Amino acid sequence: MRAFFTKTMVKKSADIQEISTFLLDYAIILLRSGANTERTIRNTSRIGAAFGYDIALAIFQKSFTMTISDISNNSIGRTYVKKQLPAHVSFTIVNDLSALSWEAYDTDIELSQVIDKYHEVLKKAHTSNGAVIICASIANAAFCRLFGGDWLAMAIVFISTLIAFSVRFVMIKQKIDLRAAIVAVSFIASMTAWALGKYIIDTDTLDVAISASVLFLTPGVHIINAVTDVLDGHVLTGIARGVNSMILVGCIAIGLYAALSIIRWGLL
Amino acid sequence: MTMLIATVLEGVFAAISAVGFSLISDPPKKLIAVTALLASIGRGFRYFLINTYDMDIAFATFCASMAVGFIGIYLANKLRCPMEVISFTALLPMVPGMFAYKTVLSFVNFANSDILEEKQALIVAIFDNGTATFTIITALAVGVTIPLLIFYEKSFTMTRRKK
Repeated sequence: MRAFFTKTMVKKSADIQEISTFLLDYAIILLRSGANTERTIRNTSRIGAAFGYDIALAIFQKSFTMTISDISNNSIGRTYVKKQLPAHVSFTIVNDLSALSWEAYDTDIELSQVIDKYHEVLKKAHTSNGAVIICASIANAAFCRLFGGDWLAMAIVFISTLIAFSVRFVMIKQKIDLRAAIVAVSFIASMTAWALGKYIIDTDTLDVAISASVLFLTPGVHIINAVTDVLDGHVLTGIARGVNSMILVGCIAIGLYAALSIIRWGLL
Repeated sequence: MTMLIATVLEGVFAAISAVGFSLISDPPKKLIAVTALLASIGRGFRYFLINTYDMDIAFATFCASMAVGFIGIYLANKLRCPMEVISFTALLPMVPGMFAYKTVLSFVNFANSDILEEKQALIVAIFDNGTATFTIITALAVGVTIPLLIFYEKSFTMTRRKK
């Protein structure tokens, strides 16, 4: 597929079964970790080229197709259709796996070593969950300040994010549908912020606090990836990503809408 | 002078929020400081443009996001990492949360209101805030992508160790 890879001299070789199993996993993990379509295709093709295989990838939202064939003998080849995993963004993985693909291409490490390094990268990711919750809460409080909230509003946002983010974490662990989880978490975050402002902490900028309380849920990486995909020419994948992130934004709005309606009706 | 202090403060808070939000995306630890720097440059630059040149917020966001993109490409090349890892999360402090919130709030009030004049005012509010939300998000995404497209081939070789 990528002519500029196939021109290079091939010195290494690998078993087609071994390399195709590895590359399928590799592509799935890259896609779920928030790499855009073009990067996934290039990285996967690069590793394939390093071991004398031509890789063609067709990526869809739910699944993808990969054809792998021997550059020197096209009769050795196979095609796979694999399901994708739900998104779980990790830039550590995107960064390290991209570097790994170049290492496989530029140096003479064997496939087994590449696979070992790949598993090391996976082990390193998603390790500091407690710190993430606290830092995200501080971040959201700082965000509240950027929107013109005062110090008390920042305190409200900090506490509500701490609670809502922990709930989100538990819900994702329990494998509850992401959209349902986001509606619930958005509702909890805005209700907590409102209740804190009404009964415990007295602030003049409660509306800022409520608006900032749900913002940690924004799927920013997915939105930008959608745009880069479309501009790269992967229009279908890009639109699919865009629609998916719009659904998530819609879920945040639904949770917020429910909370605001209850507040407005004066039920509490 | 007050302008300078306000811009710096804006940048500092943007940096704090960028660090926290970027942690959600599990970034490489050594790159978190770079993200914070980029976020404060972006947000501070936008604040400066809006308040000094009275620029429209969507266009100011576009300029700031493009600045983040270009500086991001340069730093990513120096640090040997993909550009999106440091610049995407640096844009998060510029996400138009307040406008999005006001859109939803006006929507709720519109659905619950019976008075015609109030409804008319709310339609304008929904449309105003909705347009602002949409244009700012588009400006963010397109602005950061332009540098990526200019240095297109380069952007895929940044993680390569040997030049």
